[in-house]
Amino acid sequence: MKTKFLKSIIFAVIISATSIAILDSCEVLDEVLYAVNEPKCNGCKKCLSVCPQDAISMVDGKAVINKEECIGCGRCLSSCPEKAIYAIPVSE
Amino acid sequence: MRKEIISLLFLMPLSISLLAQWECPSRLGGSLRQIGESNFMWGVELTGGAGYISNSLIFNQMSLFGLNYSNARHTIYIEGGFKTWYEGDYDLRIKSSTIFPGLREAFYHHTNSLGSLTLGLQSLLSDDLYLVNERVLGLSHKKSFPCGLNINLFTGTVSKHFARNGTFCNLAYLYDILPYINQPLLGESLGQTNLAGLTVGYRPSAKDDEFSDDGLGVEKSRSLVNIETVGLVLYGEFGSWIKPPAVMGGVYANIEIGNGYGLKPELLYAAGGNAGLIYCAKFEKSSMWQNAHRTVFSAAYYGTFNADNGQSGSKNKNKSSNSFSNILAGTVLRFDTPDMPFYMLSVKHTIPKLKTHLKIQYVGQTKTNPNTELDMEIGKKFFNKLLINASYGYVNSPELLSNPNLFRLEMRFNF
Repeated sequence: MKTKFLKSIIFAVIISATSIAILDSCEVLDEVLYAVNEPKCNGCKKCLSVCPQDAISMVDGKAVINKEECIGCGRCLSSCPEKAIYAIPVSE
Repeated sequence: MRKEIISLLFLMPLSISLLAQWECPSRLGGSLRQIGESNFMWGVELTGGAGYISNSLIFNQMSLFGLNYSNARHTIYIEGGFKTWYEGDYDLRIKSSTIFPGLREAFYHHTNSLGSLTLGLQSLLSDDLYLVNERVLGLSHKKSFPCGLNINLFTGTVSKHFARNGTFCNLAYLYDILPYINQPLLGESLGQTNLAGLTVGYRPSAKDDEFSDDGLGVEKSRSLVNIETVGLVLYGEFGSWIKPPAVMGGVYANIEIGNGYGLKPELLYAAGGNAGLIYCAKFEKSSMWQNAHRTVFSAAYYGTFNADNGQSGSKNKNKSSNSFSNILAGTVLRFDTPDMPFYMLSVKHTIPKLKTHLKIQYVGQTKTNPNTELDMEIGKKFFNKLLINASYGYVNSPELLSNPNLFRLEMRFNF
């Protein structure tokens, strides 16, 4: 039973890892990152609430996006009540 | 076997509450298996989904593990796993994807004559209709008295890492098509967004239950309208991110109208950042047909009066309402407390022989230029282990240039 349990966990983890690897490799799409228009930011922290990567922090009451951590999901863009977040192509 | 039953009795309400909403509908809690002759139980759930909306292709996958230890009075339960998602937007030619681990439940539960106590990361559902349906790191205590009084005390902290509408559990990132949605605030670290509450419920029928068996076999006549529960609630949200703290208090009831009709009205007064009244009600009619089919019709309305208190133009937009109700009406729009007033209509038909269900849901706001959504779902269970759901959603929104259609196929496999 113990072996079966461990096998199930290993099986599930392998599925998780391989599914994203396959999808990422077969699509020819670009990646984007997001940035904050500082004067517009009101410091409400809603973008911090939705970022799955913890890529946003508060500096002097304004949100700052860490480009190294950002995966470009865009959840911060749609959560911002002040429309202070915008997309930038990765090449920039 | 007895241990298994005790565990299931405790875990089944958890899984039922999860099924009550379309988000996070894990079946893991109700499908655990005993490890040999030990007190341990375990389970694995694999979820895979593929969706299409507004020329975006979406895949998500979750692998969840559950481990439970329980004896007559003590239960320890841990549930967590890995999440994967991928989204490709074919209009904007952009993509995003990620994989990360997360924890959904990790609690200790103890029952004795003083009541039941749950400590740790747990699914918290307040006894009323509206206030709390959230994953909380904290404690809850429930105590029932023979006179029909039920007391539920709960407190804890909520983080985006385990919250229902947070980053690990929900599917919101897949369907974020409305620009600038009113997102509830969820703390990044522990202690930033917290809640505490107390509900005191009274069951007037408790005394009738106690003396119902009079030995004569005569069933007591019940009136057409029967108040099942009436209660008081006091609730607050606080923390370094919630300024000023929100405080709410009010009354709720659970009324049986007879012939399978039920009504749950609630009235709350909100103080703090946004003073005002919140009123909501849910009407439900359940029908069991001769062929064992079951149909549940439900209608709910969530409204506010003067909740903004004239502060809509103020700089403080952190606190639009309470943050942990997770009503999440509509697969795509996911109306919640900031979106009130809105209504929900749904019909769910279950065919037990075929292990199939059909559901139609319509949600809409009652304001000028409302957002509305129509959802349809058909699901079938195979071999008691595999559940496949196919769903369609149509969103009508004045905030969008065109009205999007959602197509989604989802499978849940428990073993």
